[in-house]
Amino acid sequence: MKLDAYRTWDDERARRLIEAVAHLPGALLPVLHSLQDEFGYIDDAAIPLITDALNVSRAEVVGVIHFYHDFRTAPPGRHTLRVCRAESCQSMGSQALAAHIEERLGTPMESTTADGEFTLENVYCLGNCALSPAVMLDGRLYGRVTPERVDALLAPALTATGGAA
Amino acid sequence: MPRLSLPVRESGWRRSVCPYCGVGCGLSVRARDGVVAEVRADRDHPVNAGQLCAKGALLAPAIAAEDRLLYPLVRSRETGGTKRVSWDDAVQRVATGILDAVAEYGPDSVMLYGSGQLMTEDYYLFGKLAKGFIGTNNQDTNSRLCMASAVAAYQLAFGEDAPPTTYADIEQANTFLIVGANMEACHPILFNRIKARKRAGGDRVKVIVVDPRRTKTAEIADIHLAVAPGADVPLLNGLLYEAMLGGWLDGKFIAEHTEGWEQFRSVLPRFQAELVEAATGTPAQQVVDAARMYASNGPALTFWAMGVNQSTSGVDKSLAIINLALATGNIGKPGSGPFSLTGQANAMGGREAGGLATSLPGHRSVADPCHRVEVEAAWGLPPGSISPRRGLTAIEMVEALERGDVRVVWIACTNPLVSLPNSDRVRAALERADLVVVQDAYHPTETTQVADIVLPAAQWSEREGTLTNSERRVCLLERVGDPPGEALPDWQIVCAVAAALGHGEAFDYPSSEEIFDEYRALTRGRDLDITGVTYDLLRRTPGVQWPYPKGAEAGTERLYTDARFPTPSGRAVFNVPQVLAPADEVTAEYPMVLLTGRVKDQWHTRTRTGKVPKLNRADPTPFVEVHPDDARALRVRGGQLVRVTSRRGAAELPVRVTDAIRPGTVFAPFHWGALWGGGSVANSVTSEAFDARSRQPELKFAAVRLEAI
Repeated sequence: MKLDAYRTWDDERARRLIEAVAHLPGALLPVLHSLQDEFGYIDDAAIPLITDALNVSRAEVVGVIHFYHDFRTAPPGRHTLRVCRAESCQSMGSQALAAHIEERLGTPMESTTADGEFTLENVYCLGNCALSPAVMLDGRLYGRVTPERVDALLAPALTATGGAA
Repeated sequence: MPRLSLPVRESGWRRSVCPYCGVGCGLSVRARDGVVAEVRADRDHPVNAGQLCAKGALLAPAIAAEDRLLYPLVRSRETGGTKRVSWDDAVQRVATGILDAVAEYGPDSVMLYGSGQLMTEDYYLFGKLAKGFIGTNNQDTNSRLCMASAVAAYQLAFGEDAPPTTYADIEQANTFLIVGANMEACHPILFNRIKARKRAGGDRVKVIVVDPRRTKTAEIADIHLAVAPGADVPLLNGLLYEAMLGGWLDGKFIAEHTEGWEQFRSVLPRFQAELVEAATGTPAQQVVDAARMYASNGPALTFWAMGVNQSTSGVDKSLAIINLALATGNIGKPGSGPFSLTGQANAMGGREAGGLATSLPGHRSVADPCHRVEVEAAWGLPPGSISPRRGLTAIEMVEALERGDVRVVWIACTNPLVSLPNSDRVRAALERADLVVVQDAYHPTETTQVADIVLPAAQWSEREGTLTNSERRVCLLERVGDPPGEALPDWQIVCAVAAALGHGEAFDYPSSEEIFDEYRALTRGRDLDITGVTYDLLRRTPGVQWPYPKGAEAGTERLYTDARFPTPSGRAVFNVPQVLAPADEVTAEYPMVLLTGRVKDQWHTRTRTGKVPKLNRADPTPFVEVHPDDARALRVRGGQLVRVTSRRGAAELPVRVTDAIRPGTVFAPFHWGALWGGGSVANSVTSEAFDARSRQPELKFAAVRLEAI
């Protein structure tokens, strides 16, 4: 989930990725997945490339991107923090937890910090209800999360070396 | 060939400036039998007022060393042997090599790589030849390794690369924040001024040092923040956040003279002291105390150098330093400001005269069409002569050599086989070139050894020229002695090659003064306007601080005193620095971090200081500093050899055990090259990964493992 793993947007590379899966039946979803896997998000510049390659309308492509919550239209932060907002976590204080996170990271849910470090996302159930409230940082699940625990989780992500060497 | 005017026998005392670091100490020098014999500190010079470090005091024996290069040499690639040739022959060979490469591969197959120790006139002419007449922007210097990140940060924050401060701020500052700078060793005279200020100011004057090592600089600190290598941005943001919580920010200055504050402020809450402690290894209480000391104790002056700049996030780190100054209103006022220290005597001159791959004379950019037209007109060239493409920087030069894109390299006044990171790769890349020309005052150096043509350059004291020190002071260095053998000033060598390339008319200068006059005319109306500065003025003064436009009666001590900045809005800009990981990953295989740096009595690659016995006493050999815990784990004692291995290469170095370094971190000076003895070159190990904005390589962070030998 680290940005380091993603390439910066490159038209030519995107065109080749699209061509590689364009022959599949119902190619639009595989195309979007492979673009997001490569670049971390789907750049606006991809839309004309996709409409040309798949012979579909712009509205169709944009509609599909916006229908699925997991497709991003802007580069994500280097770290992604997902906060569960479903019933169980809600009842165990995820509202207050999200408020703490928003304050600590200085940006609202569903956005990225000004320095591009963290993207905050709401999710509706991480399947960890027994240990509510739950969050997921860079693909790793954490349960019974308190504000203090969130702070401790964020600290190593403040540096390079993953914490004090 | 042009020759110097009359030989000098006995000279009187002449005005000069030390050619080593960027401090620019004033000297009085005198020659005997045409060779500089006595060097004294200039008691009346505002920079050093009679003080001098050992390197400067011992310049005479370095200049008189036995390995001065006296004649042009050519080397046979078959036998490796060199033979002496005439200047005409050597210059013709250089010109032919350039013409052949341009004809076959285009102008971008030629690269000029210079140095922060060239004089301003040399930079200017190298740039004029490359950018104007050969037609390539492939001109860069070793300053790329030194302060390119600070340059980029100044430009982003203030709109121009103009250091706002002056040395006289030292005597008016209450707090000193020294980040990634071992001033005691690298800028000793400024360090003495800080110590004197601390003595005079008593308890009021505080010093904070940020450095993973407890250097002698850190020993005078009231607070030493021993930050984990690479973790500077979280620490600096943490200081700013704590200053904000303490209510010590200058809200009026932020509101009236800056932009971007709200966006930057939004990221600060996660840099709470406790979190910063976990991230950087610096205790939370120290962070809080340092924030108070910096922000609530009157004027604060920040110095920074290579510990900040030599990083893949060097620009971010420099921006974090500038943000701290802006948020506390520490700019444009006596005793305050963000002050980037330059490592070399004339790194500033190169920034000003267009010595870098993106720049043209007078703080102009090759990317700006108006700037290109202005410079083309001054050089008598038709519009469109100067390429709009950014040239290759130091590390990109190595990559381009490997690809075969660059075929001819002309290196002047620097020793990249010791100073560039991953030196084995640099050597292999240079060996691929069709022609390597090295212009130096000494032979052999590690780099002249691989040159096809070696050109003898006159150096400090043997020619005149100007430089700009770290506080924007333009100084004249007078000639007192004669170059040895057939050595010529760098600018004359450029003129000779230019003439052989068919551009003699545009490179016809009777002396360096005419070059300076042509260059200063190009600064008219620019932020660094020096149209009022003449050699005559500089002979009468200890230098003047730019801007100094025509008609001015004095230089400009401090910039931005009216809080107006050369940005479109007139406001300084808060940029949000990113927290990026160093490029080299610390893993089980490479579990430790190597930092490189300098020792007090050596300069760069020892081409000069290594020849002076007294300067070799304190540190006669290379070494690697290891914490006692690590030494125990490795089962090594002081003096024992260890192999330091990174993903790129290895160096074998004797161990110095010291608790002045963090466990898990080791330190080695980069001075010693292959000529000293095989296998002890610190830069065989370092990383060439560079900052995307400044293209400055990350010499300060290499993941390594140590093994006893």
